[in-house]
Amino acid sequence: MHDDELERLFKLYHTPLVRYLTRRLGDRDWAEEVAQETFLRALRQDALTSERSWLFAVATNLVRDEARKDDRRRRHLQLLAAEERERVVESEDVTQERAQERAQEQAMARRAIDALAERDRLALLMREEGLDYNEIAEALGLSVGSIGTTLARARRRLAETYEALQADAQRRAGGSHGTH
Amino acid sequence: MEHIDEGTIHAWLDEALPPDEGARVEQHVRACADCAAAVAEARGLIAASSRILSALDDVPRDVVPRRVDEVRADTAPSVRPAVRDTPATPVGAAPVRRRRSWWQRPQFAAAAGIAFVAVALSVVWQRSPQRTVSDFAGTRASEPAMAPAAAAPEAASAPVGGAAPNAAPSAALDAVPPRDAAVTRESKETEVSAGAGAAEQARPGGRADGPRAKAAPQNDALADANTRTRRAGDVAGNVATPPAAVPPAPTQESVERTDMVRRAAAPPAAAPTSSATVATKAVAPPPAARALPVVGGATAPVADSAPAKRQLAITPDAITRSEKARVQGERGVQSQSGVVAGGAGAEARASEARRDLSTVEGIVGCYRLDRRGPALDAGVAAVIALLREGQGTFDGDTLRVARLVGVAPSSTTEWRWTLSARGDVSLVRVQGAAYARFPLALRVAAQTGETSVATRVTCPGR
Repeated sequence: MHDDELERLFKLYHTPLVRYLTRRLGDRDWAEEVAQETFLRALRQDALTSERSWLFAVATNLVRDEARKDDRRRRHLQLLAAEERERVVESEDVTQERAQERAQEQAMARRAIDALAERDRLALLMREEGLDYNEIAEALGLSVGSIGTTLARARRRLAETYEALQADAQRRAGGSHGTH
Repeated sequence: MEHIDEGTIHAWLDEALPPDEGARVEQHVRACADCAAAVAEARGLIAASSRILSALDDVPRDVVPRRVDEVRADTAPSVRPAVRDTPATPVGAAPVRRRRSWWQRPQFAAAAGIAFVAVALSVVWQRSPQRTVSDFAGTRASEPAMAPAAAAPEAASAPVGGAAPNAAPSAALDAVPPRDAAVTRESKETEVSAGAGAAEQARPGGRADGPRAKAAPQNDALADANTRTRRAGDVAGNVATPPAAVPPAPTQESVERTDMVRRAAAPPAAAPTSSATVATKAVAPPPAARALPVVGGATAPVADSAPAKRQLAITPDAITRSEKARVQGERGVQSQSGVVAGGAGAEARASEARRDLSTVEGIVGCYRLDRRGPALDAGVAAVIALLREGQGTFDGDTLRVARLVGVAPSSTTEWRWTLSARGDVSLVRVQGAAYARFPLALRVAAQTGETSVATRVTCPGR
C-alpha cells in the first residue's frame, strides 16, 4: 500500500474506527492504540477489496486477541475504576450535579452494552459507524441474512437493559429523597 | 398474511433490503397495523441505541492538571501527561479541530516523526545493551561477564512494585558496569523522589544548558558527556532535597567533574525550540560519531575503553532510513543507496553501535513528547526522561523506566519505554496497571505523518 493510499484510508476511517473501539473498550487510548495497529497492518497489505470491513474486522480481532489475555482484562477493569474515581475529582469544576448525571448515564450505557452478546455488540457498534449489512457480515463472518435479526436483538436488549437501569436508578434516587 | 419479522423490519429501516423486498415490506406495513407498530418500535429502538451508545464516547482521559506547587508537594512516583498546561495546547481548543489542523500538515508531522525515530533510536541503540547483547557477545569474548553482577542487586532492589523479576536479568545483561555507586543510587532515587519540581531549585544550571547548545555539533559522545553532566547535577539535586532514601554523599569530586564536563563538552542539540528545527538537527548525521574517551574518566569502566574507541557505525540518518525500510521490508524494500536497510544488516549495525556504549546509566535522555495527530486528542505534551532501568516486561520486551518531568502528576498514569528485539522503540503508557504501547508513533510517522513528536531536550531538574 502506498503512503497516499494509507492516508486516504486514515482520513476516511480513523474517526469511526476509534469511536467504535472506544465504545467497545471504554478506553480511548487503548482504542487509539488498536486503531493505529490496525492501520499499520493495512499498510502491509497490497490491496484491500472491502476496506472498511477489513479494517473493522482487523481491529475487532486485535481487541479479541487482547481480551484473551485475562490479566489485560483485569487491568482494564482497574483502569476503568481509576478513571471513574478521577472523573469524580475532575467534576468538581463542572456543576457537580450535571457531571454526576453524565457519569451515571455513561456507566449505565456501559453496563447495557456489556450485557449484549459479543456478536450482537460488535454488529451494533459497527452499524453505528455506518457499515452496511454486507460489511458487517464480512467483518464478523456472519451471513448477510442474519444481520437484521442480530441488530434487532442487540438494539432491543440494549434499550431494555438501559431502561431497566434507569428505572432502577430513579427508584433509588426517589427512595433517598423519601428518607430526607 | 404473515407478519414481518423484527429482523427484516430493522433491515428495511437500515435500507439493507433489496429493492423488491423493501417494496414488499413497505406495502405490508401500510396495510398491517401490528407491523406498523413494530416498525415504530424498531425506529424507537434504533434511535435509543444510538443515543445510548453516544454516551460511551465521553471517555475521560486527562484530569485537570494540578498546579506546580501541588506537583512539588506530591511525592507519588507516577505522573500523568498533562494536556492543558502546555503552550502547545491552548486551553479550550477543540480537540477535533486541532487534530484536523495537524493532520493537514503531514509533511511537518513526517519530518518531526523522522526526528523522533532518529533521536529515539539513536539514543537507544547507542545506549541500551539490552536484548541484543547476545548478538555481539561472541565478538566480545573478553567482556568481563562478572562485572555487571555488582549492579544486579542494585537494580533488583529498585523500589518499584512488581518489577524486580526482570530488573536483575536485564542488569546482568548489561555489558556496562555501573559507573559508580552514586550513580546507581541516583537512578534509584529517581523513583523515590519523583516529585517533579523538588530539585528544580537545586539545579539552577540545568535548564540553562539548552539555549547555549544550539551551535554545538551533533556529537553523540558529547551527548554522553552531557548526560553525565546532567546526571551529576541530579545527584547534587537529590542531596539538596533529600528523599526518604539515603541520599548519596555529594563529593567534591563529583561537583568538579560536573564542571569539567560542562567546560569540556558543550551540550548537544538540547532544548530545540521547534519541531522543525529538531527534524533538521536530529536527522543530520553526526559529523564524526566517534565515542570520545570518557570524560571524568576516573570512573570509566576499563572493559569499555576498547570498544569506546570504535567508530559508531550508525547514524540517526541511517537509523531513520533503516527504520522506514524495515517497515516496508515485508513489501520488498531491501536497501537504499549505501544503507543496509532493515533486517539483519540494520540489526548488525545496531549491535555495532551498542558496542560503543560506554557509560550510560540513569537517564538516557529527555524528550519532550507531543502526542499529536488525528489519532489523538488534544495532544499531550510532556517531558519524558528515558532511564535505562529495567522494570518488568511488556509483551516480552523489557519495560524500562520513563518519567514525566515537570508536569502534573496523577495517581494512575506512568510512562515506560521498551526496545524490542527488532529495534523498535515504544513508549508505553501505564495507567492503572494497564499498558498501552505507542510504537506507531515511530513507524507510521515516516509513512503518513501521523505521529507523536519527541524532541530531545535538556533534562529539567527533578
